[in-house]
Amino acid sequence: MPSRQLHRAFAFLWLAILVGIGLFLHCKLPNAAVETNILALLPDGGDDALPPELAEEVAGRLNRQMLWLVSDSNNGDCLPAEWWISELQKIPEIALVEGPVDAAAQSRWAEFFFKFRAQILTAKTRSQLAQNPENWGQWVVAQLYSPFAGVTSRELQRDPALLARAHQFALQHDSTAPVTFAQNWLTAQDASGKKWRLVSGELKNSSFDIAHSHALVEKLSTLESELRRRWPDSAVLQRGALFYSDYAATQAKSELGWLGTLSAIGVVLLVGFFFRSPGPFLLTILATGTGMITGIAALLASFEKVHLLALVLSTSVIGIAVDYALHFLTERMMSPPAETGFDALRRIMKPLVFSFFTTLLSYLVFLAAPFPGFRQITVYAIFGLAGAFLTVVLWFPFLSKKTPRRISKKRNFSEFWTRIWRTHKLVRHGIPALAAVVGAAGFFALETNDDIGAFQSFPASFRENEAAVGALTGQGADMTWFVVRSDSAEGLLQKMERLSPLLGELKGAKKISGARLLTDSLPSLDTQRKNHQVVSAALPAICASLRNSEIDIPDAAAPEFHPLLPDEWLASPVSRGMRLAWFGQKDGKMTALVPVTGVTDDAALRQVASTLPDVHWLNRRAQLSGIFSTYRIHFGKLLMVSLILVLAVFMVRFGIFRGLRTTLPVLLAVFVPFGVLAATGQPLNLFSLLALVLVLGIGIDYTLFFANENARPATTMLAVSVDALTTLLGFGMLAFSHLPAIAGFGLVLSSGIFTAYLLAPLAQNGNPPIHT
Amino acid sequence: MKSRRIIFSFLILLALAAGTPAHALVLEDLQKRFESIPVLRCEFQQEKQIHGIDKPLKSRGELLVAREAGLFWNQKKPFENTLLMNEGVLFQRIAGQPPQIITAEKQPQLFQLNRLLTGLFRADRAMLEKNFTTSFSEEGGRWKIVLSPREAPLDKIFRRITLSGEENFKTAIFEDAQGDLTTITFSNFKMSPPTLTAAEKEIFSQIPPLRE
Repeated sequence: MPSRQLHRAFAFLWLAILVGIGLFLHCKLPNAAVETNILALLPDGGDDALPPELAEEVAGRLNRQMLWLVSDSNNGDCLPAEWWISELQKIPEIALVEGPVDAAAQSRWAEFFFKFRAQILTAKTRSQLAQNPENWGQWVVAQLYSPFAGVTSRELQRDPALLARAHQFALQHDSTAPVTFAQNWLTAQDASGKKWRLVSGELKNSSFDIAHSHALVEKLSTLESELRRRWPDSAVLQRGALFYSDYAATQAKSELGWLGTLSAIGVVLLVGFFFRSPGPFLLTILATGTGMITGIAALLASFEKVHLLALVLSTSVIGIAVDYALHFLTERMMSPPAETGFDALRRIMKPLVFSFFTTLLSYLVFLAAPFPGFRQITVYAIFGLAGAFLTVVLWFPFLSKKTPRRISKKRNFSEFWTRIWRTHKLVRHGIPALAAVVGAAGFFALETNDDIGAFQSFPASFRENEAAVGALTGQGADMTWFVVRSDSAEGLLQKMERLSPLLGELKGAKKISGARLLTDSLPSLDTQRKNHQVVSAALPAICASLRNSEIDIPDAAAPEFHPLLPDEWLASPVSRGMRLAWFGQKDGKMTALVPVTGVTDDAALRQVASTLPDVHWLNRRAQLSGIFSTYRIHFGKLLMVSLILVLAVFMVRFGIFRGLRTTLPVLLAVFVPFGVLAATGQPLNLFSLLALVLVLGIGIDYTLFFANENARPATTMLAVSVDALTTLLGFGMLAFSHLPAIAGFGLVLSSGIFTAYLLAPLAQNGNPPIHT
Repeated sequence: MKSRRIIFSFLILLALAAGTPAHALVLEDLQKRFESIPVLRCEFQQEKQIHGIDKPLKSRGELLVAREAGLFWNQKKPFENTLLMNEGVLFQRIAGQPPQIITAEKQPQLFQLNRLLTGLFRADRAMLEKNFTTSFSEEGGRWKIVLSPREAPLDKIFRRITLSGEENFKTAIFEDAQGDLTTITFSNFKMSPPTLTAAEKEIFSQIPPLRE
């Protein structure tokens, strides 16, 4: 038979391809990079004006930051912090450990502000000097008379207007941070008066290699225990993206393990129970296995880094991949002894191909959302399903010669169940009506939530730690900034200065709680010159004012103008803590960040950014939530259109009444999950919608199997039952994920698939079974 | 914390002023004495000689030190200049200008002198001996303690601090490293009433109360 030979040729071709894939995996797998950073799964920036490399660098730089707060021992000394620093310095993965500011750095700090005393002025100082230099003079006199001020002759001679001193007052006055400088340390104090010393550091590498970063977290945790052992009354608080990514990775890894294992065990048990023979069982594993390696190979070939969560979600694809094998094997088992595997294949080829393409189509819909994570799942699903499908179609007819054939009792239940859908009105009308009530109730009770928090779930200890660090340092872990860009450093600084008064207004209107501009200590040259002019103009009046108070000093000239450029600022200890915000030349443009904290009105900040050229507002959380919301609505519409399309096609194909009846199972399968979500108190989000897309794609298969004119309802029922069970095993497990988004995804999918399965017999045509 | 110590140091100065026999000048005793005086009032005269300014800066006024509330340095001449402080803030007001508020905890660097006074008069002998060499002398009923800083950074700021008195403590002289000289002379001590009067309480109500 030529077609048989052709089939054989294709089977060998597929074998050859699989060998190639195996070789590819053999080379690629050992050094495959797995991404665990949760944000990598989410959409890329979305800010078209910001180059992705820059966005990546911003994220990378922030992800590298580490902060520790070490409390003093009960004796009030900072030995614990000193010990902590010395231990950190031994860790090769951590660089730039900064703790106490030594005397040399302190004097460099003072020298910096002294050198630029006429060039770095706060807005308030500038206006005071410009408008009322006499008052300024009186302030200088008061400082001189004060027994507490300690103004020396040297200071007066060098800086008769006490500008450097005034700047320190101004800085201190403007500072809202509770962090102070004590005993050479940046120090925070808790409510009980205990002092906490700040230690900062930077990870050498921002990409998270799971094993490596986990070892580092373990190491830090060991050090923490060691510190507590040495100083039982001291403690250390740690902050860094590292801890979050490590936790997420550990969780995802364990989920990948146990969800995958449970799914696999479930499927194995089911298949074993169903066929009670090793042959079909091994074939099922073969089909799923080839599917998996094809999927993984496609992932590795298409993406630089495979996201761990994509792998977790991908395990569920097994539940679908296994269907093709089961479908074939069921058909084979139920078919008359005379038939060959090719006959069985021929009979199920059409629904199989159809089912493959509807599933494929629903996964392709995922590509519409700009989520790298879903792109990975789609690639995995498409290739994994294709691999399993090809194995079934090309190899199974050859390999299934000895699989058991029995027209068994198993049909009894199927026959009963399909029959009562035809004979009992209560079943035929009651069950769909119940499903409709559940779906409708859920639809109206349901709440939506697009917060990306659903994607992250951390234990309470993380929140407590974060709150403790936030309370001590006054710095939240907000990931909100303006990104300012310009062709030149000078232009960049000027743009940032233009932002300054706007930020003041936003703060006044309580739309933000604060912002840090590096131009406070690195003004643009333009501002430096203007400040210098203001000082030059004010000095004669100040000196005159001093002389009026009988302080006989000669007129002083403004200090020489030294242009302060970014390099000098970067090299000075003054820039400590703000250096991170300076990116220098990136992608052809000078770039810097303005971190903003306590944002209450995202729109107002976006508005500010839109009025200034080259100023971009980055609020990843709000931005992502916005994207989630947009795509949730987007997919909602898509789903509606799909349902209408399905209805239209079915009506054309089956006539109006039967068309409606055939659509109903799928329609209800899409709505019942609303009820389930509402009942379990979970909100509707993008992931629920994506799950519904899959429900539609998979659920429609069940309906179609029944609607098939040539179908034998009982056999169909049996095959669909096994399909649905394996799919439920694959996706149902996701409902137990610790991540709300994935759990919701699993819940929607399993409840939807279950509904589609339950109601599918509604689509069977009224004819009695054509079984021989 | 810092300014609390300053207050403390002033209390010790005043404790000295309150007729301590010189030979009984033991630091531990001072601490006890400080604890026994809740409110002190006196007058001061300050003379600052700053290099490069021919005329010394002379000022006078009243000083009020309350253990519970803080310190009020009320300069009356040659212009009104009041300093009100407790452990947390320094509140300086010049006639006709808005007050300047400095938080001691935020910028201890701004309290250079205060910090020194702190170290000096904490009645912590170990600390004192670690940072200063002390010499005590008495001549014709007039006693004198000279404190010289041992090492950096104290020696960068101070050359010498001299406390002296006769029957009563009288003067504190601060000689800084650049040769500037500050002499504060105290007189007219009053220790009663032992609590703040209503008017005095009103003054301290301008600053946040002391934390305990």
